[in-house]
Amino acid sequence: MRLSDAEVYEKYAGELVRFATGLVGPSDAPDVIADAFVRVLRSGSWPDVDEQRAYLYRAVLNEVKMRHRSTMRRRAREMRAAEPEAVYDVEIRPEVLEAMSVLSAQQRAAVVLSYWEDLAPVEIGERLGVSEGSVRRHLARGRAKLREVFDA
Amino acid sequence: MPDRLDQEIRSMVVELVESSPAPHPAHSALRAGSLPVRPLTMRSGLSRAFAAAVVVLLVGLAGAWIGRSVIPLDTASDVSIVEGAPAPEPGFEPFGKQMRLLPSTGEVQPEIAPGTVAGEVTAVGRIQDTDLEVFIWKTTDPENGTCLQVIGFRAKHTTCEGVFDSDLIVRSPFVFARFDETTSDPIDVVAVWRVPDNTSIVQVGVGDTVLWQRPNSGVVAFAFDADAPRVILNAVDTDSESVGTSFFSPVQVANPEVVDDITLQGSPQDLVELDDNHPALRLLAEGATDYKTFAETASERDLEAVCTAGGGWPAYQLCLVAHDGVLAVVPFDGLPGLTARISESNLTQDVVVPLNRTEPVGVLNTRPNTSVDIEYFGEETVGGMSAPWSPSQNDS
Repeated sequence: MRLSDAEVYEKYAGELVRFATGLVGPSDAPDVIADAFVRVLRSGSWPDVDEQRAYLYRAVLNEVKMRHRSTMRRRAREMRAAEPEAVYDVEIRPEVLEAMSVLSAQQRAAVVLSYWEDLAPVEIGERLGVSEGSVRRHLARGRAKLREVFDA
Repeated sequence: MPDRLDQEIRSMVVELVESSPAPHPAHSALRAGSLPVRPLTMRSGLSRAFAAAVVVLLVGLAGAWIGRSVIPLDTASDVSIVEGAPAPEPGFEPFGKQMRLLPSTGEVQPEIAPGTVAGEVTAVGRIQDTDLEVFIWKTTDPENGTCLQVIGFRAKHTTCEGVFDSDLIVRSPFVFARFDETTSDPIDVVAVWRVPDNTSIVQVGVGDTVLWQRPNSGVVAFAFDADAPRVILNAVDTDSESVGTSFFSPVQVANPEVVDDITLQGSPQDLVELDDNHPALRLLAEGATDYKTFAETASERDLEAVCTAGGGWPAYQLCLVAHDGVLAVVPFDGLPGLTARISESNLTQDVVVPLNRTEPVGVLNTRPNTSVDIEYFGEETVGGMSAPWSPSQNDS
């Protein structure tokens, strides 16, 4: 039986917020998820979607791509400028946000799903709707960019 | 065994994801997205009601003004396929359909291309079941060229006769994927073609077989299934002579990664001189000097080759031919700053090939699983292989 919209949200919002946190940081992740859900539920194709989980992951990634790329970099600057504990109740070093900000949204998605969920490239590809080769390429690029950051 | 870099990345990702907050409660998230929800006081409510009334009044006045001055544009005879277009014949059905051109909604205005002196807009239209609007205008330049423009979600394509002075460009259809606005998944592949003036019949072939033909001229539009195999569009004159042909692969247009998966025996190391016997140079020497002819000839000879083009801005036309450990990158069109980035799929070594040049470039390979991206000014990939994204629409 198909779940109601609220039930779908309750079921997937937690893991999607963790995924979005890897993409845009903790401050914007809940808003990204809310916006992505609203967009999905308004979509005419949603009632016919079979793989709802994968569809939602792609919708979140798409939502992130539509937002400004420098969100993480801006957040890192804000954290440096402010007393972190006065602004954020989560412990995240600005260096982490800055490092991730050098990656494209697709590269971040591949890195998060690979290193957090331990998914293989083929599984990441199924989740994000891209080929295994594309995932491998994003991972390779992401690793190369992060190596430069860590070596700097 | 994970190396130090893997450990550092994993540590960073864990720190980041573990900082994840709780999602918004379902009742607020599903109602309004991230819009803040605030209680409405009587005073603020009245203020909003007054402001809304003013906005409605202004919008109405503006609409009336715009309508008086701009709409209706001429839904001219050049938009020749209007209501009443016949249903597709059997055989074309599984792969796609002809799209009718309907009168424009009038909600979208043409965007005049830089450097094009705009003259009279002679025709507008809307492609059935899409958000795509079509415009035709005559330029006032000395060559009296005619421009065709298609505008829609993630689609803005313009070409002008006379301005580009190229039969290849003028007689090629715009071919692009339409994407789901929510997920960016491909919906279908659309071809919009202003066929040559002496066209009497338009044919659609899938594979090597003509499956459909209709008397047509002016602007024609087709939508193809995103999984459709190679398509040939052919324009024929009254003497049954072909006056324009175009072919493309909807699978590749809709799924750019498909062509990325070309597997080459080698790993990018350096730019190298191409040997005269390299098939890429032989094809060029034999006259395959546009990317479509090049692709067809390479296919006939079972060469390990792939060609691709992005028709938006920046535009590019590019073929890759692998032979004996050397990958030839053959650019036919490209703007300064457009580069092909050749990389291994599993590691880090890149070779950047500038495409603002006309001669082929060789890349030495020694390991398998090489992939190619088209990038603009080192920013995001602009072409998996076909997506004509402008930088502003891109993830940058």
